[in-house]
Amino acid sequence: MKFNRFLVLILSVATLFVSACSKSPNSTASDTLNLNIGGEPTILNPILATDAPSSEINGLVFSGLFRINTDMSIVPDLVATYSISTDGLTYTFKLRDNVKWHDGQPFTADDVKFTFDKILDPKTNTVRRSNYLLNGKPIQFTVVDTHIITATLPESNAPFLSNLCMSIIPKHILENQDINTATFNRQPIGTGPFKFQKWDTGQFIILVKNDTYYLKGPKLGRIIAKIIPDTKTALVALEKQEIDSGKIPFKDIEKYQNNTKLNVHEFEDLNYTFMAFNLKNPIFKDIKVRQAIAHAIDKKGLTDKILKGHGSPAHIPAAPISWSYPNNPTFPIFEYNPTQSARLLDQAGWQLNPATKIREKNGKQLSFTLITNQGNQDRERSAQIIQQYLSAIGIQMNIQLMEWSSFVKRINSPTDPKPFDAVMLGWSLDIDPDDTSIWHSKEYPKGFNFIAYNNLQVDTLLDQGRKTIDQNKRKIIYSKLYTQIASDIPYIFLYYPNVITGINKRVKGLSPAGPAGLFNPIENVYIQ
Amino acid sequence: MTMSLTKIAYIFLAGMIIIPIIVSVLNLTNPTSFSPLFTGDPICPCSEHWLGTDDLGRDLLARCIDGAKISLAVGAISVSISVGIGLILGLISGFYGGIIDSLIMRFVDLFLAIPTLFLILIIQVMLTPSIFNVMAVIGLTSWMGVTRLVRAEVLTAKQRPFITAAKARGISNTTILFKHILPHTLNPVIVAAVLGMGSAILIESTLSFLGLGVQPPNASWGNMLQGSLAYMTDAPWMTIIPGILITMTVLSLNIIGDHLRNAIFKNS
Amino acid sequence: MIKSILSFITMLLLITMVSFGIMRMAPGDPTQQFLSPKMGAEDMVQIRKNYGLDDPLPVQYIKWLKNVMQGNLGYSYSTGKPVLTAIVERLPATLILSITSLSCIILIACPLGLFSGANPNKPFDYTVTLLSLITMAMPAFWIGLMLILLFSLKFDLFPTSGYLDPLMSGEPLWRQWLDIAHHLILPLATTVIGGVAGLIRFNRFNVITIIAQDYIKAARARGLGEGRILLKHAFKNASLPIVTILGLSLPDLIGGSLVIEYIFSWPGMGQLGIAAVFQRDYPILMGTVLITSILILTGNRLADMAYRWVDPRIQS
Repeated sequence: MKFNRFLVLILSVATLFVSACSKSPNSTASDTLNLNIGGEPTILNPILATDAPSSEINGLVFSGLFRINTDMSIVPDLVATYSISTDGLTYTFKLRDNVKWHDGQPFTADDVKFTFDKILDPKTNTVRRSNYLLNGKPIQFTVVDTHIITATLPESNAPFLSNLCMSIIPKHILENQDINTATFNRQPIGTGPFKFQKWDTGQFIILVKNDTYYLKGPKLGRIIAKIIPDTKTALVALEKQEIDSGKIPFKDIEKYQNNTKLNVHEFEDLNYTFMAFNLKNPIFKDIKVRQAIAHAIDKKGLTDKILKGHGSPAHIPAAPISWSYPNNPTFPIFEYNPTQSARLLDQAGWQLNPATKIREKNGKQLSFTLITNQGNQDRERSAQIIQQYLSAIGIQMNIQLMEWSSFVKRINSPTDPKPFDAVMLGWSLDIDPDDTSIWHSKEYPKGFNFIAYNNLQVDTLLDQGRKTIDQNKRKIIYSKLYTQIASDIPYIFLYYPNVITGINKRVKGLSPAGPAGLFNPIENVYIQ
Repeated sequence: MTMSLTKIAYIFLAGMIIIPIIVSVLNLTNPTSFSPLFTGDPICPCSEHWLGTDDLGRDLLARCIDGAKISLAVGAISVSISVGIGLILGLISGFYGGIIDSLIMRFVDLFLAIPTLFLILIIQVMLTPSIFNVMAVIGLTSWMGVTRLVRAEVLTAKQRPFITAAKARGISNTTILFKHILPHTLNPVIVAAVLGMGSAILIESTLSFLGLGVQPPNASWGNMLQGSLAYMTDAPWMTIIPGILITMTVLSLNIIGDHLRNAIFKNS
Repeated sequence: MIKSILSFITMLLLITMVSFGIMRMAPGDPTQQFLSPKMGAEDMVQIRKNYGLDDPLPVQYIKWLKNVMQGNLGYSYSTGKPVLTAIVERLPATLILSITSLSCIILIACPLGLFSGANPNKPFDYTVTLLSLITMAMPAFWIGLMLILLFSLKFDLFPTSGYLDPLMSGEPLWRQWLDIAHHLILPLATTVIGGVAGLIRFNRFNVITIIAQDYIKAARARGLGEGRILLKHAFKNASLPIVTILGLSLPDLIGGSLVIEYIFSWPGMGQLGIAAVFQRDYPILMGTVLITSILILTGNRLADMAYRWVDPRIQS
C-alpha cells in the first residue's frame, strides 16, 4: 500500500512537470492572425445573429451589397454599379458577376432576393425585419436578370443604403431548410474574404483564406478567433502574444504604452453613455429639476476619474466623429455649477431638510432609484460618483444593479408608465444618424423611447431627417434636432468613451484607427 | 480539537459580531465614502488605510467590517429560517408518522434531488437580488438536512418509556410534542444551526460573487471579491483579504460546531 | 421493482414541472437579450410568438414533455442548436474534470483519513484535521482565484483559463492531451482542495469507529501486527462506505462545478447552465435539469443498492 502511494505520488509529480513544460508553441506563424472575439458566437448567420462575437465572424465570412469604408462612408461591395430613380424610390443594382460562394456556386441576384425575403418572413426569428419595412410596408426586391436587382421603396428613406450592408446568404443551401435551426448556422458558407473551417465549442473558430475572393485576395492565410470572455485573461494572452489584438482597459493604458511588442491605438467611437429620466415620474416632470441635476454633475470629473481622460463629455445624442455632429454647435451645454443647481431646486419648491440633508416638497423627499445593468464596471462606478454629486445638492439617488435580462425586461415593459425612475445605459450608434426609434413619440411605450419623450418638433425633424437624401440638408436638420433634444434634457448625456486597442507590432497593413478602421479591410492585413 | 483552538474560535466569532456593531453604532468608519488620497487606482495598505482601498477609493478595512455585518446577518437569518422549517417539519413528520410522514419525506427527497445551486441561481435571477431574498432563498433550500435530523431524534425519543407513560396519563399530543420531545431535539439542532451558518455564509459569498447576492454599493465579502477580479494583478489585497475573512469566520463556526457536537456526544 | 421505477418517473416529472414553473416565473425574456436602436421592438414580439412563449404555461409544459418522449429535447433559443447536441458537446470537458477530481480526492483522502483515524490526537492527525477544517471553510471560487493569483499570474506556470490551445488542433493527439492536462491542473487543484476535506473527516471517523470495535481488539489479542490490522481490517471496512459516496457524487460529476467552470472558462456543462440561466435559454435549462435530475435520482438508487450489497445487515 505504501509503495502504491509512492508510485502515485511520483507519477503525479511527473505529470505536473511534463505538463508545465509542454507550453503551446508560439503562434508566430507568419500567415496566421490570432484574434479574441470575447465570447462564444451564438449563430453564424448574419440575418439572425445580434451578438458581437457572431457579428465579428460573420463580417469575415460574408459580404453584403454595400460595406462601410475606413472613413465611415458607404461603398459598394457585391454591387458593381447602381442608380437611383429621380423620385428616390427605385434603386437599380448591377451586381458583380465574378463572385462565387465558398462552395463554388456562383452568386446571383436570386441570393439577394432570397436574403431579404427571409428577413421579411415572419417565421424567421430576426430582429432586423423593421429595417426593411417603411411605414409598415415592405421594400420590394425584384430580380431583373441574373446580376441585376431592383428595390422599390414605399417612401424616401435615407438610411436605406446603410441597411444594404446586410450580408447576403446563399439561396441554394438554405432554401429548403428551416433557417432558425439549420446546421448552416454552425457551418456558414459566404462570399467573404475568409472561409469557415472549424468551430470548437467554447474554444475557438478557425477561418482560412478564400482563394476565389472577388476583390484583391487576403494576404493572411488563416485567422484563429479565440474565445476568451474574461478581460483579464485576454490581457494576459495579449502580453504572452497568444492573441494579436485586445481591448485595453483605461486604467492599464500606461502599462501597455511602453510595451515593446505592442502598438496602442486609441480612437473615438460611435457610442455614448447617458442617464435617462422616466419623464412620467412626477419628480422629473419639472424641467427645473432636470436642469438642476445637469448642473450638479461634473462631466469632466467623470471622464477624468472613470475614463482616465480617455474620452470626452457628451452633450448631444450624436458622437463627434459622426458626420451629423454640428460644426458650429448651437446646443446648450450645462456647466458644472452646484450653486446654480441649488438655486433651481429652491425655485422649483424643493427645500432642504437640514436633518436628513435631503430636499423635500409637500412632504415628499427628492429621492429616486437609478437602475443599471451589472457587469459594466465603468457604468457602476459612474453611478456611484453621480450618487455623491447629487447627494451634495440634497438629492438622494439609490442605485440598483440588475441582471441584464431582468433589466431589459424592466425598460422594455410595454406598460405606461414604465416601472423605473431613472436608467444609466449606453447607446452604440449606427453609421446612419437616424435614431427615430429612440426619440420619436410613436416609439413609446413599445419602442426604444422608454422615457416617454414627446416633442412634436422633434418628431417632425426626425421624419424629415430620415426622408431627406441629401447629406448637407440632413446635417442642418440634425443640428436643429440635437439642439432641441439637448434643451429638453430627457437624458443627461454623460460621456463618449474612447476605445483603446493594443495590437501586436507584427501585424501590418492596418487602416487608420477608427470605428471602421484597423482591421477593415481585412484583405490588407498581413504579418511580418 | 484542542481547547485552545476552540477558545480562539469563540473569541474570533465574538469579535466578528461585536466589532462591527460597535463600529457602526459609534460611526467610526465610512465604508461608502471615497478617500481623498484616491487618484484612480486602488491604494495599497498604508498608514491612512490599514488594508488599502478598493478600486473606487473606499477604505477596505471599513468595507470589510461592514461586510462582516452583512455576511453574518445573512448567515444567521438564513439558518434561522432553515432550522425553523426543518424543526417544525421534522417534529410533525416524526411524531405523527403515517401518511404525513411519507408525504413530508417525499417532499424532502424532491428538494434534495433538485440541484440546489442551480435552483438558487434561477430564483435569484427571477427576483431582483437583494439582501432579503438572499436570506430567504438560502433558508428555503437548506432545511432538508435539519428535517431528517429532527425526525430521527423524534423517532428515538418516541420509544422512550416516559413518553408512553405520558400518553397513558392522557396528556395531549401537542403538549407531549412541545414540552417533552422538543427539548431532546434541540441539541443536535443547535449543532446543525452553527454548522449551517457557515455553509450559508459560503453560499451567500458565492451568490454575491456571481452578482446575484448582495448588491453594491452595500458591501458583502462576496461582492467585494467580484469587484476585485479586474485588479488581481494590481491590487491583490482586494482579492486576498475578504477571502481570508470568510475562511476564518466559517472556520470558527465549524470548530465551534464540532466542539458542541463532541460535548453532546459525550453526554448522551 | 415496478414500484421503484414508478416512483423514479413520478419524481422526475415533479422535478421537471417545478423547475419549469420556476424558470418561467423569472422576469426577462430570451427574446429580449439585446438593446439596440437597430433592432425592431415589433420583431422581438414576433420571435416570442414563434417560440410559443405566449401560450399558457401548462400548454408549453405539455408540448415540451411530448417532444422529450420522442427524444427531442428542443432547440436552444440563443443558438438554434439541438439541446441534446449542446449538452453532449460539453460532456467531455466536465467528465474529464469530475472524474480526475474524484479520483484524486479518493487517492488523497483514503490514506490520510486512514492514518489520521489510526493515530487519533497525534500531531499528524492534528495537522490533517486543521488543514481539512481550513479548506472546508474556504469558498470554492476563492480557492480558484488564489491559485490563479499565485500560480498563473505570479509564477506563470499555468494558463489562467481555457481548455485547449487552438493552435493544437493540428497536432497529434498525445500533444493535445498534454495541453488539456496543462489547462486542467488549476481547476483540478481547486476542486480537490475544496472537496478532499469532507472525505478525510468521513473516513477518519469510520476508521476510529472500526478500530474501537471488538473484532479489532480480538485481532490484536491474537497477536496480529498493527500494520496488518490496519490494512486488512480497518482499511477494507472503512472503504466500503466510500462506495456510497461515489453514487451520491454522480450529479456533481455531470452537472459540473458551476462556479469553477465559470472562473476557469472550462467549457463544461456547468458553464452552459450558468449562461443559459442568464440568457433565459429555457430549452437548454430544461434539458440540463432533466439530465441532472435523472442522474441524481439514479445516483441515489445506486448508492442505496450499493450500501445494501456492501452491508447485508441493512434492510431497506
